[in-house]
Amino acid sequence: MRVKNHPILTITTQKEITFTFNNETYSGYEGESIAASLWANEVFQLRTTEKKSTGRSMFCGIGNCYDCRINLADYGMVRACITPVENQMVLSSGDEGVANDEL
Amino acid sequence: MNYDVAIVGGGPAGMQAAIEIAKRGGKVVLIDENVQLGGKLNGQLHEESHNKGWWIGKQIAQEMIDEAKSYGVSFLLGVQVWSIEKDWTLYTSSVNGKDSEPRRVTCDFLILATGAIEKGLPIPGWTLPKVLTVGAAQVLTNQYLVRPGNRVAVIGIDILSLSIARAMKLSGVDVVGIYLPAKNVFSNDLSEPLQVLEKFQSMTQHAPNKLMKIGGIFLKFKIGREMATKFYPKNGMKVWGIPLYINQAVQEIKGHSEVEGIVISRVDGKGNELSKRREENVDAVCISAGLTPQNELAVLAGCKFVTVAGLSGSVPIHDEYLETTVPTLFVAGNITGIEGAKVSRKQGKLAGLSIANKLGILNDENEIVDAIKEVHIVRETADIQFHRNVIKGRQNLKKIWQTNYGG
Repeated sequence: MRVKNHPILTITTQKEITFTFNNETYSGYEGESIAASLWANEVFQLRTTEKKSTGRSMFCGIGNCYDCRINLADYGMVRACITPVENQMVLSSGDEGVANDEL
Repeated sequence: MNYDVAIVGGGPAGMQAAIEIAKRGGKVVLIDENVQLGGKLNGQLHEESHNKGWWIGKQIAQEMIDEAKSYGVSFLLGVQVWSIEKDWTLYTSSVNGKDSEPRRVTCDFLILATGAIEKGLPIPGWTLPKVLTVGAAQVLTNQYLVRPGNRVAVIGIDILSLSIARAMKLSGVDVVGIYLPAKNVFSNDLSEPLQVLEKFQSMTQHAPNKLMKIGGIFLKFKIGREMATKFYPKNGMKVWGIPLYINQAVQEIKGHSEVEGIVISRVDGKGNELSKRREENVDAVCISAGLTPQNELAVLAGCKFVTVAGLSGSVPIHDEYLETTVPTLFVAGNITGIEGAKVSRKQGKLAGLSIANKLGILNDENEIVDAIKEVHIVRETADIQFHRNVIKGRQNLKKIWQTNYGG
């Protein structure tokens, strides 16, 4: 899904990093968001809902709607659309948030 | 760490304010949730009027970042402000969880330049993966250079959706069409062809191209707008090679685990369905329902608010220097009402100078007078207006201030 040619914008070479999501390894570019990296890898669904288990992907892209929440190992919920992807990051769909504890 | 000024939001308004204050020797910290400064500038890409060429927001952002750095602005990036207390303590944490405990930032003056959020517009199927807002599509396409989909439908006909449809097309996306949203309790006038056309008319004054003049053309039809929507070409009217369907609405988004298609039908001038439904295969859908000010922190700070037509939502009441009803708290940019980046930047300059004056580091108070004028000029000559009543809205807001809070 990456844009290889653009008539107006300059495409610069970026530093590649690797990370895992649900135990699969992916590559991304340093400085981009987790959601953008996954989208470029054609991974769209980030989690399922607590009540009906339907899929959710990034929606607003600016950290406002929280639809893209994702689990970052050793920490917890982060917003995939505004959290930068990092080398060796370990991510999963498990929404280990308050809802699961209280259900 | 105590600062003279803390600014929340590193878009065009926040950055310009930071530059003005730091340039004059003020100690400024600029805080943004994103690690990349520039806010929505980073995704902006459109052709300007009068052969001024392309507006590449990323480049403008980079120039501003370089300038802010050269004046020694401090940055807290990838940092969210989750609470504020008066006179002023900001509570922050990092978005990636790296702060082991909350941090505090204190300051004498505060500027909220938090920008806007996109409104949601529920239609059946809108929660499916690969349905996103046009703003998210803009971030993916222009900021990260990742295509939202290969075959994409855009729902919602407005200046922003048209500009982002074009940006997607430039990046190689097959944009199958720009449609109206289905008429329902949430869609209001967004689903009505006649209303949409009327809105376009008011925005065509400084129209950069034929596209934005379309609304104007329709309104000049002798047979009237009602007829214009009826006789609108079945296959749409192409703008930049993208079919624009002013009288067709997406009734449903379909798919199992993610978007697979849309269900479309023709509608009358009021958005009521006229024809049988047909399906179109797409692999992503972008919805545009308009922007509204991002004002949560101003609520926490105790600002008084008002909803004025033309400003696209509820805004903190402020004076002409951009100070709110809470002394030492200023606002700039889209938190004061939805307008373009150029207006935001001028507002940032004004807020910065107003505070510089209060800090006693402004040499010439006439600079503030000029900055107020600049905001007006840029507003009145803007290529893109997000609301036809924005100028009137500003005047009303000014009256509200004068009547209730002025001198």
